Parts: sequence; structure tokens; C-alpha cells
Amino acid sequence: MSYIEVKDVKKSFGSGDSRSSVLKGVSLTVDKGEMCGIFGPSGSGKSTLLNMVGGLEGYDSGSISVNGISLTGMSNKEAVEYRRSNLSFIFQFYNLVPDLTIRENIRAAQYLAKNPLPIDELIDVVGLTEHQNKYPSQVSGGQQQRCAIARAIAKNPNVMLCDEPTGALDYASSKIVLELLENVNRKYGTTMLIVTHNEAIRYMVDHIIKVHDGLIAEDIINTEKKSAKEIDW
Amino acid sequence: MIILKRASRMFMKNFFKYLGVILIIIFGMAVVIGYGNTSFSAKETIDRYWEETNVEDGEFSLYVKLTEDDKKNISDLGISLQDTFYFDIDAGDSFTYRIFKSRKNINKEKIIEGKTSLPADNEIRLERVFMEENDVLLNDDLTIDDKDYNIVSKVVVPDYEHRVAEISNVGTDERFALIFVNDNVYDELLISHKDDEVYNYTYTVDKGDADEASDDLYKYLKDLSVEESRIEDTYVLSELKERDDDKKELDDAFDDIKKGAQDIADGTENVNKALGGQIKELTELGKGAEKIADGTSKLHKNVSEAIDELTEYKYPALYRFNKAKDNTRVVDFVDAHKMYYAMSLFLGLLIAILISYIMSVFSAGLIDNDSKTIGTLYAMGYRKSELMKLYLLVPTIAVTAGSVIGTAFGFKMTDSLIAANYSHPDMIHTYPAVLIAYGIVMPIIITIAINCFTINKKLSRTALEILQNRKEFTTKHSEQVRTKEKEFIPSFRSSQTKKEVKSHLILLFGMILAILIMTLGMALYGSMIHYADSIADDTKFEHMYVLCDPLEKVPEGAERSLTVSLSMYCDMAGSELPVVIEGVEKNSKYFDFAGKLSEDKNLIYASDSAIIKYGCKKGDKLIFTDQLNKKDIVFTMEGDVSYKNGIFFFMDIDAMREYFELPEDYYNTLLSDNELDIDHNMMISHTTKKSIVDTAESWAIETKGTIGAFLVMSIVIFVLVICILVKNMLERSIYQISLLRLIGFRTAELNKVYLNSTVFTAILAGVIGMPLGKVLMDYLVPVMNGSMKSGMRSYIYPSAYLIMSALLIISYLASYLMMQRKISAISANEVLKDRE
Ligand SMILES: Nc1ncnc2c1ncn2[C@@H]1O[C@H](COP(=O)(O)OP(=O)(O)OP(=O)(O)O)[C@@H](O)[C@H]1O
Ligand SMILES: [Mg+2]
Repeated sequence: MSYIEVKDVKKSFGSGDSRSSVLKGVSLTVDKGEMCGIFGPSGSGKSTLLNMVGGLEGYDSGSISVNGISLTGMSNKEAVEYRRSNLSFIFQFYNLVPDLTIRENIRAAQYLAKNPLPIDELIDVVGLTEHQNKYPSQVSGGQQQRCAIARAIAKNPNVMLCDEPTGALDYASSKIVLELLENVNRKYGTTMLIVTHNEAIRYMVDHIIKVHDGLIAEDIINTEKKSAKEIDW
Repeated sequence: MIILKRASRMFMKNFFKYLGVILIIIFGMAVVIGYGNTSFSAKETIDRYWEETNVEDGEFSLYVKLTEDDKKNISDLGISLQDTFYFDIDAGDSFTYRIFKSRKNINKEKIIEGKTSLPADNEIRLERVFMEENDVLLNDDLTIDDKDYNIVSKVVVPDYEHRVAEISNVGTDERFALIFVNDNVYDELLISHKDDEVYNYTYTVDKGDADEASDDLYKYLKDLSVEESRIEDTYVLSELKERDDDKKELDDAFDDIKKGAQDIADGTENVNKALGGQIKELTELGKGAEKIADGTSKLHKNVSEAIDELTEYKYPALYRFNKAKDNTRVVDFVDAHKMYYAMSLFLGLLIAILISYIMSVFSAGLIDNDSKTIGTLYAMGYRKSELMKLYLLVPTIAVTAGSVIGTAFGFKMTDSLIAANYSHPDMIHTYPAVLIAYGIVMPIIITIAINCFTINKKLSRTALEILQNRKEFTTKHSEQVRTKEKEFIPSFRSSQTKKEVKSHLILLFGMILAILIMTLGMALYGSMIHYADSIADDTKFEHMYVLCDPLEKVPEGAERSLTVSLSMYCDMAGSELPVVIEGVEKNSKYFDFAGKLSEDKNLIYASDSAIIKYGCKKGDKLIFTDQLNKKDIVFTMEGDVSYKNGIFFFMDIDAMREYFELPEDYYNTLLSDNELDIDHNMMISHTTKKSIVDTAESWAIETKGTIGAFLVMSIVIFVLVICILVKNMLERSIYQISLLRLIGFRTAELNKVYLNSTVFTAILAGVIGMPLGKVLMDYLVPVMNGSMKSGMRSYIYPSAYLIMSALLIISYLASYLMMQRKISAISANEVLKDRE
């Protein structure tokens, strides 16, 4: 059985005249430990899809289940518990807690986990040892995103949802972030959904999904997977 | 929990705002708890004091001393008695010394300072407030009747906590001294004041119900009468003399008849003898006349006895009887503070509401600014309850700190807020649980409740909504189109104000609260001063003498009137208050309303002072209680008249004589412009206009401290409320302000957008607050003075409104300048800073 199952999910926003259909019947499956890239033009509904899997957004019809948990009709409270024990997010704009240091931001995530990963190792993995006691505003965007990744893995989640993790970063920083994600996937077997505009990423993922106009336009298993080091753009 | 670390950083970041809130709480709670605690402290102090000094259960005064038999009978009722005789010495310069023997078992003096053993023959104990008010020190000498006595102890006694010479007196007089001496000195001083001695007794009930035992005692005393030979009242004596004269005339008449009859008998016998004793008829006539003489003798004896029985004069010995619980001299001190308690609870509630609202605006603002973080944490899987904790922690700690410090200050301040002018021992410090709950727990609970509500509302949105900081969907397109036509700044300002409408409402509430507190101060002071002034206007006599009975001759230049002292239950005071019915002559020189008073014996007129106390109106049935005779008296109110000192009701003197079944021409009060020479035996009290007005003025002076406290508190609240809320609004718009500055807006223009809307709020607060304050004070001032034995109307001087406005404008400008500096400090590159 697939780890993530999305079946004929439809979603529209607004009502009356301003009603617009964003997802018009999307189905897909992702296996455990798979690194899945979601591609598509702006406004095609990628983020919406990701948020639904993350239990942040509801849907009108269809069904989604993750790790055997059905998200259909889930209450706010149940969604919190679901995220708490299964998920981590990585956002385009890092979203670190400004009043906490890098280290404390990571500890804030550790607090939520039953089996958190050791913090010093994590900080070392993302290469922030010398910056760990700085506040987010005192480090660069790439360093912040590395912190966000460390925060995401600290929980040792089943699924990591990344919405344009390199969207705000330059080439070099993006490469580091992608290598990190790849390492995490390999080391911990974390299932990953990565929404991105960066077409080069399609070469390093196991599973390529393309969304177009609210529908799945492409759903391919990548058999010639490259490592993050090898890709270029 | 690591994110709680954040709470302390949030607090440090918002330190000054929180400091403001903490200061408001400290100020507010200090005053609230301080005043509230006076009632507990007073109660505790007095309870212990009464226990220690064996306070009376009641007192009474007689025209004669009790006999040993009487004392035995009273003791059989289960009552312990103490002679608490005294006499007043006029020490000149309006000073009165009331001399007592040092008390042996009831109402004992409590030594505050100095020697505890009985004063020696050249020593006295002196009452505390008199010493303090007149700067008399321990070991000073006091001259009484030309002899110096050393003051060896400073004392208080429980039957003169309210230090008035007569129970019905309105105000205390700092020139009234209570002096306690040993028995020798008392007797020595008494020699030249024999006529002034008051046979006052105090009693305690040994066991059983004090009220019932008091009633039994009263019944016993009521039946006591004064032997004719001991009556001193000249009016009664002249009445008795008249009776004796009449009786003597009757005796003479009988004697004449008897003598005449005897003469007839003797004459007849002589005639008969001269005629040789032969005429039988003459003998019969002689016998008849003799019978008349005998009969007349018998008749005389019988008639005399009957007349004696009929005219036997029973002169009641009792002229004053008060249970301690109805005696304001004893209970007033505790009663006076009950009102403080209610007031402080009310004020505390207002402050707590204000604080929690400010807190909730804070939290809402923080959460708005923080929505990204909250959304992220929420998305990460933090629970609502965990986030709630984070956002509740800081306000709760701030409020806790403020209320703990404020409450502590309040307890510390209690002593200084105790009503002045009462004679009491050093106050016992109390820390009642209810006030601790009120001062600390209540603000915390309200803060948590309101914050929970606000935060919960925010957090009940989905993580995504919070993350994207999506506003609730409100479409007001039409309005937006219209505002476009207007000039940019006013329309931008109004949209800004709309956005911050909640803050403005709280600002309004806070400003109104500040204005109300200010009005309270102004009204208390204004009312006192106005009261003193109007008393001076209203009181047209210089001297008022209340007498036992009419004098033989009305002194030159004095006006007669009739005084009956009763009591009446007052809701506002929660107790019986002494009231006076005054009968005035039609052509009175001192009461200009006298001419219009009805001659109907059932109609009565209320003074405005009485109306304030009782809220009575024309047509009301007024029930008075005659404490001495234990009966109720009912009059119908016919109208109102202007008189302010004491709770007075007025009647036409003839109507009043008729009602109370007093002789024509009877009176017991004299009013005059000049001091009269009246025998002390006949006088119950002597009041001067000067002492009445002085007393009222001294109250006004005493309240000055309180007024200062209220003014400072209101200004602090006013300024802090503006600073906290405006600062909060500015911080929420900091990005926008920075952006506007970046595109070239000047500081003056930014002030217009972000600060000027507070002008309208301030003006609105003034427009609502001052009239509201006036209405509230009209109600509150009489209630606050509930136990005062006179009605005081709330009065705010027109100039007070000007002063308040000026203070508010200055405070506003000061806050405005501070906020302006805050705007100037927001630089254009704020927008460039990475906001993460
Ligand atoms: N809460 C919402 N209310 C109304 N419309 C929404 C909402 N969220 C998303 N949309 C609309 O749904 C569509 C898809 O949005 P989504 O964010 O999923 O696109 P995307 O593929 O992630 O685009 P991008 O690559 O630019 O991030 C867009 O047209 C967007 O306007
Ligand atoms: Mg997107």
C-alpha cells in the first residue's frame, strides 16, 4: 500500500461569481521513503495540494490518506495531532521564530517529537555549529533555510513537506539545501514532497509529478536518478 | 518548553508597554486595596480595643444619682454599672475640658503613650486626638482652673471614638478635650463646678442578650422619678410652686369655712346662753353649725388628699439612654469605613476591566505581528493549548507582578487612609484574604479570561490562515470607492482608525475612567467646601442653646424655638441616625421660611440635608423613633426648606406644641446673635455658628490629601493609557509607517495619520466623562458620606471643570509629544530590515 494516497481530490475557492476551481480531480500515490517533486506553472495548485496533504487545508471531495490516516473530515484539533506526530514543513521564507536562536528554534521542534534526533548532530549536519547561538536575523537566508531543515528533521518525521525550499536562495545555497534534503532522505528514509519551480530538481527525485490547470499532467517514476551534486541549472 | 523562552524575550521587547500596565495596576490596586483594607483594619482594631477596654453596652444619664437600692435592682438585672460622671470646664478661647474620673471597669482608658499607673494628684491623662491636633506633648502642663497639671499619658477611650460633646453633634471639635484624673482631683475640681456635673452611667450586660437586658434596664429607669426636693429645673420648680400656692389658697378657704361654721356654733350658743338656754331651735342650729365645721374638716382632708394625688408631680429621672450600638460616638468609626470598602471594590472592578482590556489589545497585537510564527508553530504540530500558554504567560506575569506590588502597597498605605479625626488606638494591620483575592487573584483571573478569549479566537483559525495572515473576508468596496474622492490623509487616517477601532474604544474607556476618578476628587473637595460655605449662609444665628425646659424669663434678644431629638433609620448609613425636629416661631429672625410653615400639627418640612439623607418628598409619611420613650412618631412631609447643618425637620412651633401636647408658650431652645448668660443647670447644649462652620471647613481641609491622591492617580492612568495603547497601535503599523516614510512622507504627515485620531477620542472622553462623572458623583457623594450626621450634596465648582480640562489637555499634550518622538524614531530602513 502506498504511503501517501490522494484520490480524485477537488478543491475550489470563493463562492458565487468569484468561485474558482483550483484542483479538479487530482489522484496520486507516493511510496514510503520516496522523494517526490511536484512541478507546474504558478497558480496551478501545487501549494494547495501540498497544504492539503499537510492537513493545513481542507478539500471539497475525494480523499487523502497518509500513513494510513485518513484526512477526510479531520477536525482542526486532529489535524494538529496528525502534524505533530507525522510531519515537518519547510517553507520558501524559512519561517523561523525570530525571538529564538538557531539552536532554540531547532529545540522547539525537538520538544514535539517522541524520538527526537540529537541536537548537536543536527546542527553539525546542517553546518550551523558556529552560528547556533545567533538569532535568525543575524544569519543569511541560506543559513536560515538550513536551520529550517534541521528544525524539520529534528522531529524525525515520517513526511517532510517542502514548499519551494530553494525559492529564495542563490545557486550555491540552493545546492547545499538540496544536498541536505537528499542526505536526510537517504539517512532517515523520510518521505518527501518537494514543490518547486526549479526544473533541474526533477533529475534528483524518485517521483516526478506535474500539475497543470488543476489536473495531474505528468506522473513519472524517475529511473535515472542523479545525486544532488550532479544536477545543475 | 523551549518556546516559553520566547515569552521572556517578548516581555523584554515590550518592556515599557508592560511597565505602563504594571504601573496602572500598582497605582490602582494600591488605592483600591488601601481604602478597602481600612474597613478591615478598623474593625479588627476596634474589636480588640473594645475587648481590652471593656466597652459599654450602653449609657444613660439621669437628673439625679442612683440610690443604693436602684443600683442593687439594676445589678439584679444582670447588669454591671459604672458611674461615668463628668463635667465640662469652659477653658476660654472655645476650649472645653471634659473631666472624668479614670474609669475602673467599663470604657477604660487605653494608654497610647506614657505612664500606665493611675495619675497622681498633679497629673492627668489626656485624649490622643486633642493632643495631636493642638500639638500638646506628653509631660507638658495643662492649666485647669488656674492649676497646672502634668500630662502623664496619652489615651483613647472607646466611648469617644467620635469625639463629640453631644451624640447628635455633626462634627468633632479639636478644642474639645477629654481629661481623666484620679478621684481626688475629680472631687477637688468638682467643687467649683458642682452644678455642671452630669450623672452619666455606663453599663455592660453580664450575660444573655445585651439588647433584651438593655430594654429591661430602660424600663426600670423610665419609672424612676426625681424627689421633689431634688428637682433643680427652674421651670418645673415654678410650676410646682404655682401648684402649692393654689393648694394653700384652697386650704385657707376650707379653714375659713370651718372657722365660720365654728363661729356660728359659738355665737349661737352664746345667744342661747344669754336667753337662758331655753330656745331649742337655737341649740339645734348650734349643733348644725358644729357639724358643718366637722364636715368641712373631713372634706378638707379628703379634698386635699385627692388633690395631692392628682397633682402629684412625677418628674422623670432619665433624660438620656443609648445602647452602644445606636451610639455614634461608639460605632461611627467602624461604620465610616464600611463605605470605603464598597467604593474600593467598585473602583477596583473598573481598574481590573481596564487592565484586562489593555492586555487583550496587547495580546491581539502581538498575535497579529506574530502570525507567521504562530502559523509555523501550529503547522509544526504545536497544540492550541501550548500556544495559548505562550501568549498568556507574559500578560499573566505582568499583571501578577503589578497586582502583588500594588496590593502590598495598598496594605502599607492603609494606615494613612484611615478617616482622620477619630480617636482610636494604633491601627492593627490586617491582610484579609478577601482583599488579597480581590487585589491579586481577580486581576489575574480577569486577565487570563479575556486573553484566553482573544487568543482563542485568533487560534481557532486554521494554521494556514494564520500563516498567511489572511484577514477575515470583509467586502466594503463601495466605501473604498467613496473614500478615494476625499483627501488622502483624512481618508487614510479614518481607515487607520477603523482598523484600530478596538484600541480606540479601550483608550476611550481608560480616559473616561481617568476623568471619573478626577471628577471624584473634585466632587469630594467641592462638596466639602460648598457644604461649609452654604452652612455659613444657612445658619443665621450665632448661638443656639438647647435647654431642659423654658427659663423663668426669655433673655433679651433671644428667639424661642422648640427642639425634639429623635432618630430615623437611614438606608444610606445602614443605621439609625439622630434627627431633630425644630419648631420655629412664625416671625423668626433666624429661619426665613418660618412664615410659610403650615399650622397643621401633622405636617412637617424636611431640610435639604434631610432630603439628601432620606430622599423623602412631599406627601411621604416620615417615621421618627423616640429612643427615650421607645415609640414611633409619624408625620407627613409637606415641603422642603433650606437648612444644611445636621438632619433637621421643621414645624411651626404652635403646631409642634399641639402635637407633643406641650403648654402654650413652651420652648426649650434659644437662638441669639450674642452669647446669653444661662444657668448651666438648665442647659443641655450650646452650639455656636463658628464651631459649626469651623468643623465643616476642617473636613474640607482634611480631604485635600485624598483629592491629591485622586488627581495624581487619574493623571497617571490617563497618560499611561494613551502611551500604552498608542504605542501598541504604532508598533503594529511600524512596517507601514516605515514604508510611508520611505516613499517620502514627512513626520508631521505621519503624526496626522497615526496620532491625530486620538484627539477625537480624548475630546469624546471629556464630553462623555465629565457629565457622566457629575451624574455619578451626585449619587456617590451622599452615599460615601452615608454615616455622616448631615446631608451633603455633591457639588463641583465650575472652575473645577476648567482645572480638570487644563490638566487633561496638559497630560494629553505630554503624551502626544512622547508618541511623536516614538514616530520620529521609526526610520525608513525598518522596511528594509529582514523581518524574520
Ligand atoms: N485561500 C485562497 N482563497 C482564494 N483563492 C486561493 C486561495 N489559496 C489559493 N488560491 C488560488 O488557488 C490557485 C492555486 O494557488 P496555489 O498557491 O496552490 O498555486 P501554486 O501552484 O502554488 O502557485 P505558485 O507557483 O505561484 O506558488 C491560485 O489561483 C490562487 O489564487
Ligand atoms: Mg505555491
